[in-house]
This record gives sequence, structure tokens and C-alpha cells, in this order.
Amino acid sequence: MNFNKLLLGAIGVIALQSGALIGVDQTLNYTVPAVSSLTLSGDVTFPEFATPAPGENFAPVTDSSSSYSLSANSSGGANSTISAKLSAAAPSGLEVAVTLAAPTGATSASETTLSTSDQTLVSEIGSGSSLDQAITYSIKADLASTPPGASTVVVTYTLVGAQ
Amino acid sequence: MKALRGILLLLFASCRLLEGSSGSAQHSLNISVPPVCALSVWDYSPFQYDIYPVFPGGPTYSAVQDGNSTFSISNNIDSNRVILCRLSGELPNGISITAKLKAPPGAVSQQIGMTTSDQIVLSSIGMGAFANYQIIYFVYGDYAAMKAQPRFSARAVYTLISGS
Repeated sequence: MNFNKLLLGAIGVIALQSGALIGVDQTLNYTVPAVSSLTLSGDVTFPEFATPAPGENFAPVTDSSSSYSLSANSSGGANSTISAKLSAAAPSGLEVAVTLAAPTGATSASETTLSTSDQTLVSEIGSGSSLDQAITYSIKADLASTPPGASTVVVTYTLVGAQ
Repeated sequence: MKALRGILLLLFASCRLLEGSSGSAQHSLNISVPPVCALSVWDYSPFQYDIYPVFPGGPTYSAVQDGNSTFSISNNIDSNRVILCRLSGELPNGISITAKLKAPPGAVSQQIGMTTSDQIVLSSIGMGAFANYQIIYFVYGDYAAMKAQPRFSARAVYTLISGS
């Protein structure tokens, strides 16, 4: 519809200026770039694990303070995915699990324990934008193999457009 | 007049989507694990022993056993913790008590005659959470040394420390 209006407008301008019409073709090529953008809110600092009662292990700690936003225009339909992995193996005895809320129409996987291999967390993502979808982390530590101390675990998220 | 060039625009929309594209982002998670070195003892309290001769002219000693107490440990500091055990006060003459703790996996238990000085009753305790392991007490009464007396109580004190 817009194209038709543009064409008619162009013809009208030419007619007013020249009073004559000469047919010349011009081909305009333009490219719409693939957009596959993923952003995250700030880094997460968990509260320290609570000291367990004698004979008990650490209780898991959860955090839901972070979120992600995305823009995608994959031509493959609603088939984009978000995957995640750890950039390096987690410290001994430590597990990091995550759940991502899904944009409208997409599908979220259940809580997933992260490893150094990509795992799909959200699938069937269609074209469009989505803001501030919740990320929920759950960390677990096993007393038997987790010495005291502070550590930083880096999670890499990847939004992949449909092939 | 210079002929004006008319332009007929024929637009070909060439919309090319680059497939298989991807975007990525990273999250840093800061995690802190506290040191844990915790010990608790659940005592079958008040546990009571009656010591009496089996029969007149029989053995001059008697012994009772109790295995109703338990201990629990949580530890992530090292793999060489020990538990010390002592009595909080002297026992009456003729009375002695031994204690033995069931060992969690990898730990080493030894029966001790309890005194008011700390003794190692469990060693080589590894990291982990160990719940409800049994404590076994033996209470001996030697009539040759005992005087008749009302009930007395003894308190055992356990300490979880590094073995190194």
C-alpha cells in the first residue's frame, strides 16, 4: 500500500515539473539487517549461603533480580532460541541452575542446571521485541566438596536466529 | 527547454534477511560460601544408669551400655577434622565411663576412657554433612572402690577442631 502511494506521488511531482513523462527505471536496493540482539540486566551478587545446622547441607539460594531483553527478526518464523552455558566449569561442588521467563508465544524450559555446553532455555521465539523477561537463578553448594570462599561464575547467553 | 527527465520509479524491494544470526550477552554471578564447622550432640537426656551388683559375692564390677545419643557434623573447612571429648568434672571413685563414636565414611573412631582432659575420639573427619551418628557409652562401677552415693551426673564435652 505504501509503495503505491509513493509511486503515485513520484509520478505527480514529475508531471508538475516537466509536463512530460519519460519512462526510466531505477532500481533501489536496500537491505534489512538481521537483528538478533540480546541484553541482560546487571550482574548478580548472591547473598552468602546460610550456615547450615550440624548434619545438614547448604540450602539453595535463589535470585530473581535480573532480566533479559531481546529483539529479533528472524525470517525462519518463530524458531529463534536462547541458549546458555558457563564460560568455565563451576567451582567444585557448586551448581548453577536457571529459568528464563518466555516472551509471548515462546516456550521456556524448566529449571536447567548449567554446564559448559550450550543448553536451550527458551525456544519458539518469534520476530519482535521483548523487554525485561525474568531470569531466576538457583545456586546449590555441597559441603562435601565446596570449600569456603568467594567465586564468580560467568554465564553466556546466546540468541540464535532460525536457520 | 531541456527535456526534463521523467522518472518512473519502479521499486524493487529487495529485502534480504540474514539467517542464522546470533547475539550474545554475559552475566557474572558472584557467589560466596562461608566456612562451616558445626557439631551438635543430641543426648538421650537425662540418660540414667543404675549400677548394682549382679548377686552377692559375684563380680565386684558392673557395666551398663547406652547407645541412644547421637552427634551431627557439618564441615567444609578441611578433610582432617577431629572431635575431642572430655568430662566436665571428675567422676566419683569407682566410676568410669568410656565413649565411642560411630565413624562417618573415611573417619577413624577410637574408644576412650573419659577424663577431664581432651582426648581424640574421632579423627580424619572429611568435608560434608553427617547426621545422627551414634555415640556409645559404657559406664563401669567398681564396688571395691565405690561408696554408696545418691545419683550423680556427668557431662561430656565435645569439640570439633582441625586435626592439623
